[in-house]
Amino acid sequence: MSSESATKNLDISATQSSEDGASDWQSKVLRDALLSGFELGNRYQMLPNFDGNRGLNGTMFRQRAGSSLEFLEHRDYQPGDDLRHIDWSVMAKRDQVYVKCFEQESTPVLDLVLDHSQSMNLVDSEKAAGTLKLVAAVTTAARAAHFHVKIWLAGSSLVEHAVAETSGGCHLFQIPNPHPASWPIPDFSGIQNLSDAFQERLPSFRPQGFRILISDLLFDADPMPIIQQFSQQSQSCLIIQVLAEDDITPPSHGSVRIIDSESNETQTVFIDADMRKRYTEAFNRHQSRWIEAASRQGCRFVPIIAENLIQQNHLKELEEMQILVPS
Amino acid sequence: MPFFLNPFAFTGLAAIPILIGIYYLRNRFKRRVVSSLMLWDGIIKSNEGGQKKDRLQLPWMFFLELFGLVALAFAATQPFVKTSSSRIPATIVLDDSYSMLATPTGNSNRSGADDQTGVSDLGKSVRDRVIESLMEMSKSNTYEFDLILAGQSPRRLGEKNITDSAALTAALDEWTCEQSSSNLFEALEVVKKIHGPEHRILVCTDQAPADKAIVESDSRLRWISFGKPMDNTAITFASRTQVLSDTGAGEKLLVRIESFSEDPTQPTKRRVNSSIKIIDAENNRTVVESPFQLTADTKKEIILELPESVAKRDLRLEIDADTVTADNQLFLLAKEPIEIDVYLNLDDVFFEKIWKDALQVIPNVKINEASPSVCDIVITDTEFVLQPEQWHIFCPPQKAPVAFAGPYAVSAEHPLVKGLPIRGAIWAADADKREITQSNLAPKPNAPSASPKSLVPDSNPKNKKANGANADSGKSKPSLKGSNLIDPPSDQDAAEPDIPKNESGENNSDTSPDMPSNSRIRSVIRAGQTGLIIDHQLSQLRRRIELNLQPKYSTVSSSQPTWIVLIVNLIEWRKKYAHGPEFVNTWQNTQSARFPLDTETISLTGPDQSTKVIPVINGLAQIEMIQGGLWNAKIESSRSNPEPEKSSKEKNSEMKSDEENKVNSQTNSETEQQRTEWKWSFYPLSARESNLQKAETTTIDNWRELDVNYRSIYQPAAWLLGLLAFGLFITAFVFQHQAK
Repeated sequence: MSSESATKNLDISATQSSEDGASDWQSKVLRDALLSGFELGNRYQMLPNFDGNRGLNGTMFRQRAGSSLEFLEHRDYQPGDDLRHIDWSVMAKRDQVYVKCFEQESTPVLDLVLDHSQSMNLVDSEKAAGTLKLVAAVTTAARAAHFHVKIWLAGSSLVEHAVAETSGGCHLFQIPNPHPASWPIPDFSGIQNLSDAFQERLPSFRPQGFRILISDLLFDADPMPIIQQFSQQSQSCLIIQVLAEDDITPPSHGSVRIIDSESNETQTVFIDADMRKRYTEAFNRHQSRWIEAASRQGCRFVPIIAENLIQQNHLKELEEMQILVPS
Repeated sequence: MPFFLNPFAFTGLAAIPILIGIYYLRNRFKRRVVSSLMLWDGIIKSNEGGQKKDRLQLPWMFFLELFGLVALAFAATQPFVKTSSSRIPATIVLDDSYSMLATPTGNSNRSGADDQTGVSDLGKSVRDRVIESLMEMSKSNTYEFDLILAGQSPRRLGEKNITDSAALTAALDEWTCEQSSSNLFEALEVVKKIHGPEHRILVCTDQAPADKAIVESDSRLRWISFGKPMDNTAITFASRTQVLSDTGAGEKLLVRIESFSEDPTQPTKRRVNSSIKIIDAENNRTVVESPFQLTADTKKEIILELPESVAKRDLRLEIDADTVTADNQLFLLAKEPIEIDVYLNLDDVFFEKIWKDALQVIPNVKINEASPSVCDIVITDTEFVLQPEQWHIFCPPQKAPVAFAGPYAVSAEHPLVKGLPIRGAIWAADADKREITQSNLAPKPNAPSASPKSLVPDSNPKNKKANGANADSGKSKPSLKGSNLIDPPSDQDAAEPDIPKNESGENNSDTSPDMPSNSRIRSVIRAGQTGLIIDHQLSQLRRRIELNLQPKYSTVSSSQPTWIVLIVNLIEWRKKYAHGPEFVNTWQNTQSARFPLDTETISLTGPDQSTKVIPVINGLAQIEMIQGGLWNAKIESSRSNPEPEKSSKEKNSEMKSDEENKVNSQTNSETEQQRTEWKWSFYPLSARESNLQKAETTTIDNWRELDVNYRSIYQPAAWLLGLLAFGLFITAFVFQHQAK
């Protein structure tokens, strides 16, 4: 995105935020979404090992040998095992090489990347509210499972009370209190898409941690480099595509002036049955690219409709994927 | 310009801006913020062509709905428009008299006045000027015409509802103006009865109406006349009469010539010096030329004796031509004598003698003693089988006659008793000759009812003997052989003859001009209940007249001319049923002509040699003539001769005499073949039409107000607009459905 259009978007965001009535009303809606997500997340607990297969990087143990002194079990030696963990006494007695496994003592971490671009706050949709509800629910469930959670805002620098700097890239979303009631309200005023944000500043992911990316993924970029950067040195990663109904369903019959929520570019188009069909095909094609890229990188992928998130009082999709379990 | 019965419905046009607003809102681009244009870019570029196509559909829909709304709004206003078929129906009554052919000549000293009235163009007849006026009127495309010719009786001319000039011209070509009179008001009454009060009537003539007030008060009428007073000399009457001269049969002509001036109040009377020419019509040779001098507004009757050389030839009379040529010449044809063949065969010698004596003194009566079947009248004292168009005078023997001295009940209108001096006459007949059918012959209320005085018949045995001698005398007579003669009927048979019926079983209707149509058996002269002369109409043109008379004991045939008058009446009556036209020279435009009974159609040829076929019904044809001159009728087609009705006795006797019948019928057909063509002259002369003093150019126009009213009658067009709106909306619906 050019710097000129970025400046323009900033102006628009400033103009929108200056509309106190609308802003207050939206803030209230988003706050309610956070609280609702908090309540929802309290009913879940994130499983510490939701990673599953890592895919192309090879087979990983479900439980890694840790550095804790708590003995866990013996097992056969496998090439590559640390020689220091060989139980020499057993080998002497039985003439077989066994390795002592100790229970790892580690604190699970969750790095949640939230697409903070303006497309996530789509006008006349529940996309922003649904996203925040999902973020609140996931972080609450993760905290319940003793995850150390960090939320990264991708593409945004204008988060009041939360972001120290105002440049592009990914920035940490400063949460003063775990309770969402005290969270600052993200305004989804990002001026960069995920690709640009990762290019400019990648989040300081913690190695061997769990990572969740929440975005609509509706930008024109190759998903593979993004997912590679996102999943590098992670224990497991999950991509949640949050979409509004309007993202899936094209406008009804008639002439439509389409406005890009981020660039404010417009296109006039006459929608008919053929056009609707073409749009659906293009959307499915785009989503398939992300699913395929995620699969190649060992990431799991789940699309969620924001309007459904608002209306429903459960996270069925994440339950089915054994990411969240009722507490 | 159309007008609207409900102009407030124009407020419905307010729907048009609403429609425009709907289309504006419908076609305005809806604003839609999307997460990214990424997915749209490729689609929009590849779909630009289809987008244009879809946009083109909307204006179609819009215009269809727009026109539909406009049509609906206009239909709601209930518009009325003048359609092309709203021509004003008008009937033109054309004066068909020959005065319409009056053509002004340059000699008129009223040309100055004519210039003022606009009728000064010479060489144009009134008819020409009327035609010009009508053609001018037809150019306006306002009227549709029916044409009625007002001659002696009204007659349609051309087709109905004439709208174009060509058809009008073709119809007016048949307007010949050769009638001797024009009954305009009869034609007007006919038109008024046929059409309603809104129908326009145009009268075209050469005179002002006799009563202007009547015409002016009738808003339907327009009266235009282009006539003008002119001098005219005319033949107003002519006749041709046979006279007996020393040298034999000659003929005399009576010609009446009248001179009419254009202004009868003129102090100086014009004098006409001319001559009348009598021309042989066959070779156009002038036979006689007789000069005459005539003062204006006087008439002169000229009697001319015709030379014997042209006594029986067809003649043409001419005087010098002037403004009206139709009354300057005429044809007078020689009247051919009608010969009546009579067969006479009576046993009573005395009776036969008085019959023969009477018949011999009547001209053109021929006593045929050989072949009764070809005779017109058969007189016998026995029954006789009649041929078609044959009359039988049945004189039955009077066995016990009673002398009646009167009073006699006489059927006064019967042709047989015309001028018959029967009062005081003694009539002897059998008293037992009762009426034949009492119901038909019931005495009339005013008929004398007193029983007649009966004289005692002569009881002298000498007379009786004489009667017997007469009866028994073997006088040589042609024997009546064959089926024509049958045994004498008994008294009862005679009293109740077989009343024939026609083929359909219905009673025959009388075709006689002198007989009441509902009478078939009629007592002509009665004495009390005794029928003395009984007229039986047997069938079409067959008649049986029973004459109950014993002449020896009667004074009918001796002391008074009763007998000869009776026979003359009989012969003259029979002559009226002879074949040919009723009048050989006639001024009336219609006449009847008789033809053989088996004639179906005749070919009628007029003076202009145009021919048309006319049906003949029961041997009678009614002929209408529209042109003056010579007319000719020729038998076109005939049926086979109908079989005469026969009684059982006749049928029995018929077997015996086939041979004689063949001879008779052959002779009969030969006689009929001799005459299949007749001609006559129609000369439409009338002093009233020749007198042009009352001719006038005038116009009485009552149509203007009617025209305005009529033109305000418009045809409703709401249904048409409603239908149009419906069609447009249906089309729009179909388009919209297809677009979706």
